[in-house]
Amino acid sequence: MIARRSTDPVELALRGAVAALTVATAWIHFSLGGLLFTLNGLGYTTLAVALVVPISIATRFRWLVRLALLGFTAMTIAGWVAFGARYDVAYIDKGLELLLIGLLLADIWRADGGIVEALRRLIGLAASLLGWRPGKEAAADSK
Amino acid sequence: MTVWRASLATLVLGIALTACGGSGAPAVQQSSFPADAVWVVARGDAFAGGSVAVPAGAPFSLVLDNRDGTPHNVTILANEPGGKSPFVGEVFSGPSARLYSVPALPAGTYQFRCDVHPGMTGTIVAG
Repeated sequence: MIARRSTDPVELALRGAVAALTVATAWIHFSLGGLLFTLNGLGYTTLAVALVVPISIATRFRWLVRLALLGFTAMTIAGWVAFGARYDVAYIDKGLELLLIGLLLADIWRADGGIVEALRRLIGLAASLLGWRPGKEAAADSK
Repeated sequence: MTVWRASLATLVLGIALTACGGSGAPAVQQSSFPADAVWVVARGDAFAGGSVAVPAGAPFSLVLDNRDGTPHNVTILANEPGGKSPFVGEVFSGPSARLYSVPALPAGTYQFRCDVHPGMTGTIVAG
């Protein structure tokens, strides 16, 4: 079940940089000790693996992984702004996370047609999982 | 596949380096700090002892002996709601110790904590 390999050098470079930044911020969070930081590091690690693992299910849902990583990173930064300690390692980590968000947005733009398209796809996936269909479509089906 | 292998190798290396920087470091030399300094030991993401006594109304020296491989500090919290913290110590990674010069505290009981790990708390009694 090996997925197709991308040969686009820009896509590979973006994907590699995103994975490297994710691993770097995971490592920083692991190094801080405490349950919350460890869980945060585990979250980043899981998403980094899901982002690069060459199996077909991961490849199919790569767009969802990118979106999840974007949300997770944004939540981590928001958590730090609200409650986090201000010191050198924290500032370095937030810099890495902001860079990660920038590269993720570029990757989403290239691979998924942009953040709006990716969110639309997410809503579509959620709707299909919940068995919900937009009004017009449901009305057409009922005729 | 190259990205996958490189990421996995970096991850394994990172976790290994983190594991090597664990706790259990030996105590620092007490003679390198003022004899009258108050000591607070951070170990296992907790403050050992929990409560320290300091003189009220006079500045004092406080040594944070960080025996963890993780960053800690001491921040003394105001003993009234909405008050300004009377002292915020610099965050540093262990194992090492740092001397803080704390301004005079009016008599009373103050809570202190680590800003990085807010669950790490202790009490300072100024009297």
